[in-house]
Amino acid sequence: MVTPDELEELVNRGDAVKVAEAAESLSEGQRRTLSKAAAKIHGSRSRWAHWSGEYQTAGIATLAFCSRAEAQKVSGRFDRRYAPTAVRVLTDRRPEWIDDWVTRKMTGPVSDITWRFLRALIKAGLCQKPSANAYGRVIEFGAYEWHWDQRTVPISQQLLDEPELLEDVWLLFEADVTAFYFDPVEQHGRNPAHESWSTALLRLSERGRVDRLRLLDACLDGLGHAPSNAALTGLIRFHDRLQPTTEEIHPRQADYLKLLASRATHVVTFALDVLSQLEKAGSLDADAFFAAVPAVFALKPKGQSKAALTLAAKLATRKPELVPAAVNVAIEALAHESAEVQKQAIEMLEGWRPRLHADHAIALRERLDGLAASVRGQAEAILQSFSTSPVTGEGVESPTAASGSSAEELTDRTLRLDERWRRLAGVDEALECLRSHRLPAPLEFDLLEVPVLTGVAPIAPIESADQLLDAVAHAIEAIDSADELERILDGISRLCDQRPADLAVRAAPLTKRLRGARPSEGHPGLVNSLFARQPLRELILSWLEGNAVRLDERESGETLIRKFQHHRLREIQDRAVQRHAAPLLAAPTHAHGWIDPRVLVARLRQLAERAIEPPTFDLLQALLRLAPDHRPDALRDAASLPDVSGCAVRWAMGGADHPAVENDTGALWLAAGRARQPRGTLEALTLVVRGPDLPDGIAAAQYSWTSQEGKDAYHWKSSGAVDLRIVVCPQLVESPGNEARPTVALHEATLRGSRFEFGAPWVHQWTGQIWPLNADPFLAGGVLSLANRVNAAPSAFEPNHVFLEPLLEPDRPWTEMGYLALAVALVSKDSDSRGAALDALIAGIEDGRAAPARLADVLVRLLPGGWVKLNRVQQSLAEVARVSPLHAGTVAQLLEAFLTGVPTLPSDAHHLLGLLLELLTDLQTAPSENLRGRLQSERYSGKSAKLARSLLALAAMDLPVKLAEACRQNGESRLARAERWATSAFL
Amino acid sequence: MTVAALDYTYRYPFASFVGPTDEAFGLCLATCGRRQEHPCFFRGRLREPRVVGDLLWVLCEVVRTHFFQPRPPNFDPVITSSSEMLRFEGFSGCCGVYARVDLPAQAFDRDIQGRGTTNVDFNQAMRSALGRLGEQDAAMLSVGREGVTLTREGESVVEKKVNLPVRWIKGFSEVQAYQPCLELRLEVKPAEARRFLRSLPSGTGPRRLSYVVQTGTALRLTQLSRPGAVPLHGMNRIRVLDPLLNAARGLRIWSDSDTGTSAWEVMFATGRFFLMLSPELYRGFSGEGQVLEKLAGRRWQEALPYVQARLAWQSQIDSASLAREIGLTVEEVEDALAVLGSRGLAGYDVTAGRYFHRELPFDLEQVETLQPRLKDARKLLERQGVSVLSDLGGGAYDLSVAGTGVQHHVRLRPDGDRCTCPWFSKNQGERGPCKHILAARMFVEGAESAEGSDDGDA
Repeated sequence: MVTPDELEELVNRGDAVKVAEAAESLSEGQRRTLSKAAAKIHGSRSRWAHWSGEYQTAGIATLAFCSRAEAQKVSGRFDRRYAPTAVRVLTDRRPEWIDDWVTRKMTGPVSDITWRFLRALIKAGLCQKPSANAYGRVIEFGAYEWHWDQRTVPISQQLLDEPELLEDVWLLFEADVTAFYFDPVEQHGRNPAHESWSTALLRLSERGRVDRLRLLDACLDGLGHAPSNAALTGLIRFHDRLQPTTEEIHPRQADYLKLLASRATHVVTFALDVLSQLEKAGSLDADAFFAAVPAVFALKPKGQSKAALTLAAKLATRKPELVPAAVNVAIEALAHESAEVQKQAIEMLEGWRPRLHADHAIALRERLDGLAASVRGQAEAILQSFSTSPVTGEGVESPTAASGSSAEELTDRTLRLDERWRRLAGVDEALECLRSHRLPAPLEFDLLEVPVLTGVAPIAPIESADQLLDAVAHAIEAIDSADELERILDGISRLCDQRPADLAVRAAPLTKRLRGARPSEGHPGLVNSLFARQPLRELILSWLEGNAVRLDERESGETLIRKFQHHRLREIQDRAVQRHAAPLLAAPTHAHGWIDPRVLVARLRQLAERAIEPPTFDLLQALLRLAPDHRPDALRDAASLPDVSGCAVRWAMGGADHPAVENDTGALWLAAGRARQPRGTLEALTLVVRGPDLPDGIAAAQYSWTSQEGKDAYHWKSSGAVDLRIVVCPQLVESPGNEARPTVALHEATLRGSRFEFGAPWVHQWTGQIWPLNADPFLAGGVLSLANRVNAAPSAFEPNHVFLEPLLEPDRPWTEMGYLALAVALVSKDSDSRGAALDALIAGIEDGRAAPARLADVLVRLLPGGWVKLNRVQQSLAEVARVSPLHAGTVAQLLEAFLTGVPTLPSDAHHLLGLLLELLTDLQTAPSENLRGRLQSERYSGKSAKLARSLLALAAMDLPVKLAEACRQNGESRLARAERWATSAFL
Repeated sequence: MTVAALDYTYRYPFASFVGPTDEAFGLCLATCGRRQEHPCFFRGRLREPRVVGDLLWVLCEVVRTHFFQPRPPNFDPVITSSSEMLRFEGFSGCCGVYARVDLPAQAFDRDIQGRGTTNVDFNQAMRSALGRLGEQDAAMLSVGREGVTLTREGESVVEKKVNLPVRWIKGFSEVQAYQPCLELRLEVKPAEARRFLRSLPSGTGPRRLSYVVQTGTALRLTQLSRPGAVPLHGMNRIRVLDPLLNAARGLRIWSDSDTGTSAWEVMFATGRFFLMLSPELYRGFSGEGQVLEKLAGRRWQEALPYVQARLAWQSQIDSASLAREIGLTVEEVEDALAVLGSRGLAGYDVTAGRYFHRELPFDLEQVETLQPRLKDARKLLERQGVSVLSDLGGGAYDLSVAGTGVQHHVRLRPDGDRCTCPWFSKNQGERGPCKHILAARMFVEGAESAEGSDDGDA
């Protein structure tokens, strides 16, 4: 037996034959004695030199002497010099793991075994022949094996030199490989000796070494079952290069017809192209075609369906006896969702009307519901010729069907309402429009004028230490919302003096968990220190442990808003440590951060009775959360509130107290002012609040924005960002105490142009609850965040859908920032944000807040950025329109406003024109005069031209049923809002 | 420690194929039972070969897909044959999608002959060729082949060695526990169903939970929960249904608002496709704890042997009549059936509202012991990690249960138990009781002695 040193010497010389001789006939026990040495030698050789004799010999030695585990590390890429010796070694040894070894070499994106070596192993009976797929993958790359001197030998030459390999090449047509897809080396032509598989097989076919027809059959067979699109595309390309003649295709047309049932659209396109060839040559089997073609209409894209219909029409034109079969095909095509396909099919049926019979009418009627509005009329006309009674589809509502309250009922309900609510809710106008069949103008009201608390859910406070402990336990794992967080803060503030005897025991596991908090992307609970910052965790721990807690963490730079929130938390923490239970002034009484003014005043009175001074930041936050409701009542109750805080609270609620110049009260009066008057300049504070003009300080913030083509080199395409800039005036200037001016601090992110920081949904919600009276600062920052992910998928790190939440509040009027956020989200690939935008738009249309013209205007202004894709706009608006006739009518208005407002019609405007055509047809109305004028005066081309003509041809019905229904819905919705408002004692 | 996966070998006498057989063109499925037998259940003509081809193609898609990781599995479906129904059942690699094809006897031109459950070979070539069934006016279906045995000459043997994750086996059996709670929410025509599926966001869709609602005749997706809305997460999971909707009669959508599971039933003239989704894309059906409380309790134990003895491959088990026959309550019979379901011995047909007998061809006798939470709960009891802090009367207790470096506080209450562990704190009982609550319950209810006398049931 060789010694380890001798073995190493053999490896160094690359003398694999000697290694094989040394291993010959050894028992497994004997082989084991050299196992360690062989493994060490192999491990010391670099894989990068896999072509070297040394490396390959070392591999052979490992296969000869080592265990399965070591053998796994050996590459199967033995070249021609060493493959025979490797086979010899394995033949001699016949290890029981060889099958498993071969399988592992073939697993993975690229096979780690050469074709020749694998073939030799199979021929030697050492391993089972692998599946066609696995073997094919080996062959695919096997032709690119290097000679030992690294010359490139064309594949065709290799196959000519070793003809037995030709037996296996057919596996390339059975396996999921990309052998025929694309060869970049051949494409670039840098290596003249390099051949792709396609070129090689074609050359061999030309030389008569490979049966050409067998290639064609194998290709067609492969197209019938290859699983991946790349493999299918490769086979199509190979077929194209093969250039089969009509004579060769004709006897195989059954195979091409089978491909019409493929689920891969490019295969169907390919099959239709070839079948068209046959049709032109007059040799297409029409009966077989008509039997196979219905499968095409199951594909989503419209191109294949249209091509199939065109071919069917050609066949029927050439041979009129085929018309019945073509009629059946056209009726099948009506099931396709594309209006274009349906139109083509209906026009075919119109042309064959004399050949239609009752069975066709039944089939057509069954499909009536699924037809696009622009096509349905034609279908009904065809059906009318079979029937004397009015035609309706199975699920289409009869025009006489009534739904909801009648106009008289709505009027009766209106008369019982106070005039103020009728006016603010736009009820009278809606009823007038109901009679005239036009949609009323959107609602316009000020947030301060309406009782918002009637439209939001009240928050049930935590009532016991038990409940508080449960809530904290859950929040450690997941903070469900900012409302829930505020409940916990309120609970700690009110119940910190209640410490059950077993609290320490029960809190121990929570304390342990919270103290182990770490940064964790995506975790929504307090244990994620990335989002739940130190002051929040310190507060919770202080309550749990009953003493002041300071965590030894290094705090990173905090934004102004975070600082404001942290000051609040410190105040609560101090109270909890001292166990001075007291109501939390800023605890919301209702969702979205709202506080009932009466409750705030009651809390302040409690503090006053106990001679507790209202904590500064608690009071600032409370003022900014004052709801518009019940302010007069609360003002009366607040008459006895002492000190400057009492004055400020009364002034906030509309009282006559004037802001007074006192030390360090500027922030207080500012908060009170912004609670009294969320918008506009606070003239009364010019003497009280010193310092530079700040946005939403004394001066109201003004926003201007532009959408530009992104030129920033750092915005990689994959980041999905677009260039949308918002400018806020006045600018935010660094000023001491800005963190105590939260209405100013909210603008920090927008002014930095950097959007809000990353966070869990509750983090952003909590920011949004700082100033519910004016959501514009929050929305502006949100717009930048949304714009950052317009072309990106949703992210747990950037839950931008939260920025749309203010738009869902039923009594919040939409401002320009709101429309901007909505527009950006509607065209976003971030499906979370887009979903939230759709929900908001649907709700806004339903309750009358959505102004289609304003949204259209925003979309028009976004267009110059070049990133608003009108197909995305169309998809979003189509979804909204489907909800109800009211939504359809409002979307139609939006589209008209956009199409008349855009300076030049974009090249992809046909997406919106097509949608508008469907909606107006369905609503039985015509384009407005403005749009009509535009469509008539300008010239369009392509699809837009055709659609423009169709729009101009529309005529309004005298009694448009669906539009009437839309108006009724609108009236009902406004009345419901007014009735809800009326339940409040707001007045 | 729970075994992560079981080495399992499918050994078929031939590879399933679509093509010419002895009699005619058709689909010939190879079978392999739990004990490596190769039953022949059925041979007959399909009345609607195209529909059956599409149904099985979609089933194939489910079983070969891991819906959130690029790890294509290779687990074959099972088929259960009774006199009234052939049912194919499959489970996705991610353990979050259960699929079933129900073919009643009317789908064939002759009676269904065999009884039993077996694996069937679904291979790539067969899958690719299923579309060819639609080319034929009539095609055969063979489930098994008479006279065919496994030979070691090798070439006719198809062996698939797989690692069956335990959670896959558990999920496949545990999924039955959800189905009795499903309620029908929405129903639409196939054109609308197809439009809706094709309108869904690409890929897996929103990260947030979405809901399906119906407005008029149209379905739409919303992110706002409302009564009657069907939760949906992982849009790619229902997109698999698209190929079925061309020939379908309608789509029905079921859901359970407590668990968040949903089921999508595509109906045909004869037959249906039933697809059930876990509450979230990244959650499987195993480990959801739906049967844990039943298993930890005792109500089923007396009924189980009687119910099991009366299983005879019924495609619908009438619990009421079975209860009368045995002399037990319907609840006891239903509990026993639920436990049998968790052992893979019964499935549930939501449309019929009844269990059916079938036996998953895996060794599930130890399924209760495979339940990690139950196992861990027993360990806690064995280590005396549970102690009563206070007995408040009326079935209310406070207990201390050992955790990892801490003592968890468990409150047992008639209106709901609670624990301070991270699992319970996060899930708030929506995914069944945690091991601490289970241990506390077992301690209090003295279930330990029942565990010791389970005779291999545990």
